[in-house]
Amino acid sequence: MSNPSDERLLCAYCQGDEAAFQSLFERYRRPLFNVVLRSVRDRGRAEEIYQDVWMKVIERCTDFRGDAKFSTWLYTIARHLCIDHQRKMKHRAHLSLEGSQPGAGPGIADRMANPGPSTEALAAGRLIRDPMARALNALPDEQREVFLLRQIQGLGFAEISEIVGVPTNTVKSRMRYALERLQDALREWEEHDEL
Amino acid sequence: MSCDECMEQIFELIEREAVEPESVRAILERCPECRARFEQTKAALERAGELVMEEPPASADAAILRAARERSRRAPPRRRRWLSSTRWAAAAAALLAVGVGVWAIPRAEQVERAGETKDAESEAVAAIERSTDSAPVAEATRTEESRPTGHPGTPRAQKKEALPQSKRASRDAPKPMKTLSDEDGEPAAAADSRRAEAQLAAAPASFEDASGVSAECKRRLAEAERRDAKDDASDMEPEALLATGRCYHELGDVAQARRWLLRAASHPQTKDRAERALARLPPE
Repeated sequence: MSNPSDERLLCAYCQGDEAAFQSLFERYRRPLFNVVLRSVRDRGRAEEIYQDVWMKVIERCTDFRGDAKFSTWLYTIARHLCIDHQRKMKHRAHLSLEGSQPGAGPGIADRMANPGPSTEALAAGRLIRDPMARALNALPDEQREVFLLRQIQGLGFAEISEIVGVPTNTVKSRMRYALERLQDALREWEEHDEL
Repeated sequence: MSCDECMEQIFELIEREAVEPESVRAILERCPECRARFEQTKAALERAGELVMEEPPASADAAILRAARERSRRAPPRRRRWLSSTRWAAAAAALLAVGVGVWAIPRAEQVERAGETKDAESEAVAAIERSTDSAPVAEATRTEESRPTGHPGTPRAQKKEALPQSKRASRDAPKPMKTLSDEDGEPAAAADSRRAEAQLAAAPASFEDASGVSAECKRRLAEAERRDAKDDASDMEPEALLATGRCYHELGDVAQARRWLLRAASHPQTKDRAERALARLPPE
C-alpha cells in the first residue's frame, strides 16, 4: 500500500492501527493548525481548538461513515469548534461592554490578542507576509474561512461548500471578494511602504 | 461573452474551474482591462501562497499522539477484527454454502439411486408376481410394508429374500430370444408375463452385473426398465430411445435393442440413425 487514502487510514486506525493515525496526523496537522489559527486569531485558543479537533477525531473515528471525505469531516469539526469559540468571545465581549463585574475576565482588547506572525517569521525579513497576515485578519469571517480552506489546505470549492454549508457559486464569490480585498490591502501597504 | 462575464470568469479560469475557458481566453487577448484584472488576480493568488505557515505546538502534538495510542490499545486487535469484517463474513458464508452443496449433492444422488433401486426392485417383484405364484409373498410384502419400520420381519427383509431368488432363477434359466411378434395375439396378462420372463431370461441377471457395459448405458437401461414397467416410455425423447436401443445392443439383448430402436425409428429426428443401428443388429 504505497499511498493509502485518508479514509483507509482512518478505518485502519479505528481497528487499532496506531501507525495509520500517525500517517493521517502528519498529513493534516500543519494545515489544520494554521486554518484554526487564522480563523480565531488567538494562538492560545487555536492550540486548544487544534487539540480538541484531533481528540474528537480519535474518539469518534467510528462515527465517520465514509460517505464524505475525511478532510470534509475534519474541517467541519474544526469549523464548529471555531464558531463555538467565536460565540463565547462575543458573549464575553457583551458582558464586558455592560460594565466591569466582580470576577469578570479581561476585556476585549486583552482577549483579541494579536495573532500575527511569530517572531521567527518576522525575523525572516519577508515583509510581504506581515501585510498579508494583517490583510487576512481584516477580511470578513465568511470570506476568510473560504480563503483559508482553499489556500492552506487546498480544498476544492465543492468540498468547501459542503463544509461551510453554502452553494459552490457562493464559495467562489467569497473567494473572489477575499482576493480583491487582499489585493487592495496589499496595494495600500505597498504605497504606504513607498512613502 | 462580454467583459463583465469575463471578469466573473477570470478567477475560475485561474483556479481551473472556468465553464468556458476558451471564451475567457479569447476576451483576455483583446481586452486590456480584462487582461489587467487577470494579472492582478493571478498575482494576488501567488501572494496568498506566501502566507506564513506556523508549526503546531509540540506539546499539543504529543498529547494527541498519546491519546491516539491509548485508544488504539482499547480497540479490538486487527487480527480478530478482520474475521468479523463484512467481506470475510460473506466469503465464509459462500464457502459454507458451497460445502453444503457439495455434501448435499452426493446424498441426493444416493437417495435418488436408492429410490430407483427400490422402484426397480418393486417392479421386478411385481413382474415375478405376475409370472409366478409368488403373489402371497408379494402380498405379504406389500402388507408388511405398511407397517412402520423397525418391526421384525418387515417387508424389506422378505422382499430382499424374494428378489435374489428370482434373480438366481433367471440366471439359471435358459435364455430364449423372444421377439415382439411372438407376443402378438396372446392375452394381455399372459403376454405381460411372457414379456417379463423374456426380459429376465434374455438379459443378464442384471445389466448392472454385465461387464463391458458403460456406466452411461447402465444408467440408461435402468431408466428404460423403470419407464417400461410404468409404461410411460412414450414420452421419452427420441435421442433417449436411440441411446437406449444402442445400450441394449451393447448389453447383448437383441430383442430389447430392436424394440427400442424401432421406437426411435418412428421419430423423424432419429429415423435414419435408428434404422442403421437396426441393420447392425445380429439375427435373432
